[in-house]
Amino acid sequence: MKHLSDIEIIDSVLHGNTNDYSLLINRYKHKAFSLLLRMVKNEMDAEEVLQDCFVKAFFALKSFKRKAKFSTWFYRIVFNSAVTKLSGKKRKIEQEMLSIDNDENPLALSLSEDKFAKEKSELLTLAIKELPENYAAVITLFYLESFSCEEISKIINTSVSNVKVLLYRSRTALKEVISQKHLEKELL
Amino acid sequence: MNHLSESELNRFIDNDFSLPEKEAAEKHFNECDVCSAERQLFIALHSLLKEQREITAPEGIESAIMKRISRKIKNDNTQKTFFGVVVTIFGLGIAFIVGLLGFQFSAKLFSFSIEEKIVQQVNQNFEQLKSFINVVFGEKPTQSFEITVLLFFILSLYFVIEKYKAIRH
Repeated sequence: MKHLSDIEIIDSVLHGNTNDYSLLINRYKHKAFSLLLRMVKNEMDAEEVLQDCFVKAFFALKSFKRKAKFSTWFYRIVFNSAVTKLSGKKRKIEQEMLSIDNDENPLALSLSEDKFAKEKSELLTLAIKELPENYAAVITLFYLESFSCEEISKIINTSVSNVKVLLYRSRTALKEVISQKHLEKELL
Repeated sequence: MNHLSESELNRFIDNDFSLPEKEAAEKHFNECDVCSAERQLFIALHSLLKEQREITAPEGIESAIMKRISRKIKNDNTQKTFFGVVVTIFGLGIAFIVGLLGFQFSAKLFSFSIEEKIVQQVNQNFEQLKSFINVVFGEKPTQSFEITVLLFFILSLYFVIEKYKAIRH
């Protein structure tokens, strides 16, 4: 049962085996959470949106056209949900408050606390969280989820050339964040 | 000497350069320490990003999602059943009103002879219903019966249309 493809699981769920949906959840929960956390930049929000996404996807499974991969379709839901969450008024106000609080050096607290004990990956995540949500999304989809530029363009609903530009800019921005926070030694 | 822009460096990392562009860039890197160092930085960043690990989702999220799904399925089913009953009642109401009107209209139009007993029975039932509605909603100053029937008809149409939309959805 564990080695079923996404489509086989979907067929099984559509035939009434609702519990098989947990296989899909297990398959995508960590990666989708990584993307959401980097976009919404808050663990509680990311968890809430992740739950919403899986529930939404479950009830929309019937409308899933098998032309694209399930992962592309699902990440489109994830990306749009994150954008919707971020565009909420309340969220904006909270973000502004947070950015005012942390304006001087958002990484300073975590680094001074336990700078050397932090793993590279955690530091990188902290640096990526500093990027605007579009950049964070593209960089995560490209490197962590291993999507091609074509697939990313379908997920975030833009052209392939725009994705490439976003990827260039996000890498350059990330390099700047790393250099601003003096993390070159730890990361590069 | 013109240094490579960051966009060009990015294109170089992604292998988006044509062969002549690549050769020219390689040549430039051999001659320019600044660009060569920048390239090393981008390569290091590229490798770092490739090596990154996913963030673990909170524990128990899977069961929380499955619970939400089953709760929603339950709610949807309850709503569907309730809506189905309501639509059936109102659908029967429409059928009754249309049938009654059709019966009266046909009788007048074609002046066919209906057995006296049936006419009496229908009229009696009609009057009973009318008096019941008048008792409930009041006889004066409005014509309660006609208004009630009209409202009932509009509501029935609304529910039937909503049901049709839900089925299509």
